[in-house]
Amino acid sequence: MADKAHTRNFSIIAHIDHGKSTLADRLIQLCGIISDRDFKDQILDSLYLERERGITIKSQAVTLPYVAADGEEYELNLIDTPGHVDFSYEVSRALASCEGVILVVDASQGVEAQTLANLYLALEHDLEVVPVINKIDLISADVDEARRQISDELGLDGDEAVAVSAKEGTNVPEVLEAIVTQLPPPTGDPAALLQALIFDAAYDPYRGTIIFVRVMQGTLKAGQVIRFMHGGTEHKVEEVGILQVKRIVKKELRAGQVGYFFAGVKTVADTNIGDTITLAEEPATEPLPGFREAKPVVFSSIYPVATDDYPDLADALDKLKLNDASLIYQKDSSQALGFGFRCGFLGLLHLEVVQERLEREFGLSLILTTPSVRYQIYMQDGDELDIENPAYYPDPASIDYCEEPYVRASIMMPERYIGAVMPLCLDRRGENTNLHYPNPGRVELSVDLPLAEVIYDFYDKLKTVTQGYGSFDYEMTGYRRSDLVKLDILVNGEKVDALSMLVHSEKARLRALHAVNKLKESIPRQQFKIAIQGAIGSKIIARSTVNAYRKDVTSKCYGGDVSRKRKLLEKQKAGKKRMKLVGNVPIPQKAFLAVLQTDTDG
Amino acid sequence: MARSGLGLYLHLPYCPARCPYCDFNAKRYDHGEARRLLAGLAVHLERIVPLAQGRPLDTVYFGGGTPAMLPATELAALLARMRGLMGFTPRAEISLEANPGALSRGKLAALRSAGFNRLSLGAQSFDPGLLKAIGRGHTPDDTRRAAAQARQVGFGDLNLDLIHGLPGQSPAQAAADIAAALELEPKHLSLYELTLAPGTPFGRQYRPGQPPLPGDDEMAAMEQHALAALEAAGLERYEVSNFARPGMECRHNQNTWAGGDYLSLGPGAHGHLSGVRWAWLSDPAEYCDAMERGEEPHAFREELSREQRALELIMLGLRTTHGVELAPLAALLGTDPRRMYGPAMAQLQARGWALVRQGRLIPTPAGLAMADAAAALFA
Repeated sequence: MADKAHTRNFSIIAHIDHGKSTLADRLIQLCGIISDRDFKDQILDSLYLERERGITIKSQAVTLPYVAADGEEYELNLIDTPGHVDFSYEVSRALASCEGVILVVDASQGVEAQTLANLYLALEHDLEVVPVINKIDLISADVDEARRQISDELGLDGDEAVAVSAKEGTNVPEVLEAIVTQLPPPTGDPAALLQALIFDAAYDPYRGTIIFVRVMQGTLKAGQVIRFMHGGTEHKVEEVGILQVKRIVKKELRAGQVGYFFAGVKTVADTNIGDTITLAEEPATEPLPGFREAKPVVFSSIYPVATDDYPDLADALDKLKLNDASLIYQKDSSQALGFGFRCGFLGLLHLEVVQERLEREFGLSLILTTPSVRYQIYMQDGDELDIENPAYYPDPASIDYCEEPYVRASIMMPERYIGAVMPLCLDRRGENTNLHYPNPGRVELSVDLPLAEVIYDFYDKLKTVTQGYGSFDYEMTGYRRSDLVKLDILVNGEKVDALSMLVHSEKARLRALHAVNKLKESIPRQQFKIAIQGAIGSKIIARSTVNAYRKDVTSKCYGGDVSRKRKLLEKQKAGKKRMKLVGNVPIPQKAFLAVLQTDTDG
Repeated sequence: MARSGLGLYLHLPYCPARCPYCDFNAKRYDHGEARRLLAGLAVHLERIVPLAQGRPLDTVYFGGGTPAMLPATELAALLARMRGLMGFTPRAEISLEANPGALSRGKLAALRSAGFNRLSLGAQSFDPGLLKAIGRGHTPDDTRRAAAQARQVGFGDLNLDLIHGLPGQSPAQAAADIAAALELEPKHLSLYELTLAPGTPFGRQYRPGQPPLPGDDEMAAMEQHALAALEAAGLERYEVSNFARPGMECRHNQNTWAGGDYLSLGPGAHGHLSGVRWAWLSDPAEYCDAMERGEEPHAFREELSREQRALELIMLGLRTTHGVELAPLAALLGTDPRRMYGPAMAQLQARGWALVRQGRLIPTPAGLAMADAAAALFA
């Protein structure tokens, strides 16, 4: 096993689509730990969803054996990081496990918002940063401009940056060499009291939770009894090892090393990312810094379309939870939708990932309610409530005031789009705008935005108005006073509780109009008129009508049509189960989805 | 069931050309294949004789396709074989579907003397522009001539098929079509609303209710006018799309709608015998292959449960002004249908779609317009 001097721990960070995963793949391939025949593109993105969207959601690690130009063999630990703002805490823990990062910059796009955000994050962790310019194979590549931006905007040495094409493999070996020569080896004493940082965990159906750690001090071995310093539980280590795509069992992991262990931990939820492991008998005096409990910020209720699928949904969530500690859920019920679960997510992407996995991996057909943030409600009697579910919104007369969560957003774009982005931010109740011109032609807009506006459809709109050139990042900043109302949707006078939402009073009418119009388009006509209304309390603020059918009859029905027609009736009967009945109006799943969908063209 | 005689439906799939709205089992005429099919039909006819169990045929229906485009001698020969093998009842109704463009006085005379006594002409419209737009090869005058000649050779029982709701058709044009049809004094008229069938050129080209198709209000106006005009002319509505002078209803179809038995012959033809439904292979070549190999050319065969048979009776009966006979339904289910379908029957009446009278569930005019939704209540 390599000594500390021959170990390097690093992450690759990049703006989305700048080629992080492709570069990681090339590095893995070059180090020969997996045959080309077995090579699946983008090995690290093991979730298909990540592959489809080009976003890394779960981080993993891989240990690369590398013989450097100096003839010595090194152990390079690549710790992959999630590439989305929803998972910024996970990113920070992965970075805390490294001594350095490779910062990838796209040769044609240059420095983007996330490039900057990632750089700041790396600097916060005192990491050495090695810039790499990628995609030099593109016709639109401008390596000199990228070098200039790296120097001017990032304050790094752009002239020394390795320029590569990860896709074609050009100059990739130089990146490995730069890792060895430019990144510092880890510090730490193998003989000290054990302190190991958990940066990720995953569920293995045969062994329980596999926990990924960076050993900071001391030595982790099989047979030791360890303690989670924040979680408080103790476990006996069954196996330790390193990852070379496959697991390689080792005798021990010493200070400075990155690897995995099993300790009979049943579910991922029993571990906390960022927790410190120490020995039960000889514990370290204090945990490693930076621990935070992952807190959900976006909430939505999930219902099965067919009520009898509820047990399957419960089962599926239990299974997802095994691998996704940040997913929280509890039973919920709705008059319109029956039994379901109120779920908390790290962000909208996290919500979408969970929804897609439930639908694809578990074959469930789902209805999700409008995503909500968590509001703080201050009652007249001095009570304080945290409300994220419109169902629990108290009587407005008893409320003193409300507060809603805000973020500080950073939007990076070519200067010509500022005229479109600024009104968008103001429309979304943006405040404290601040413009920064990192270099001619580009602008970084900082703005305070309510999180509720961000999770609505801000990102889609931003992409539209900047024709895809705008990039966006944000961090939570705290709560501010807000004028909140509860908007109800009524179908033929009956409240559809699952469509209720908490919104800012200025936005209520627009949201109500959107909802009633979407419902009008997607509720099939009945033999009677259907009135759809949006209301705050007893005040109707929007309405639409689905006209009654005049006619519902097939023109021709002769001897050859009988069987087909009967089968159609029988099929419709099965289809009825998939409709939700509100009063006497059947509402199809797509109507619920349509209300939640926002128009990005409007 | 009281009104039930035995029917036979013969399907002849050939047409001079495919119409862009049609999704029937039909294809362009192919001489060689048609010869082969006629031979196959002769064989198949002999094989289905035992299904009749000695019952004579009360109705025979030559449908298609455009059966009248085959030579009169061949059609006559087929009919003669049926008569020879199974026999006809004294008042047997023998229908033939025909395209106005494919008829001559001589042919009509030959068909009439071969025993056909009911002629159904696919007029579709009397507007030359609309006829062209829907791909029909005949003119309004072809229809008028064919109707006159049919009457001269003794086809007293004449039906005209019309389609309304055609692309670009105005309510005035639709009214003119009805008037033109009534001038020919048919004993029977079938009026269909254009159906956009998936997989047809029209199905791909048009959206229901969207221009150039008439909108909701125009469609309602056309229908309202047609119902009134037909009634005034003495043609009573007896099914969603069918109108006749009293006593001139198509018995073959009435038998189908009452859950009666009918045999079938030809590619894709459906048959029904006491709760067993089947269809023959729809591809003429495959149908003939099976015939030549001595196999049954089944495309499907299903035995219905009592509930399925009951559902069919309701579904079909709610499309007719006669309504659903409750006694046969009770016999089938072994229980009072009012018990089994209580909520659905209550809904029907509450919505004003049907009444219970004289042991029947009788749809109102509003109920006829909502027959699909009405049947769905029983599923």
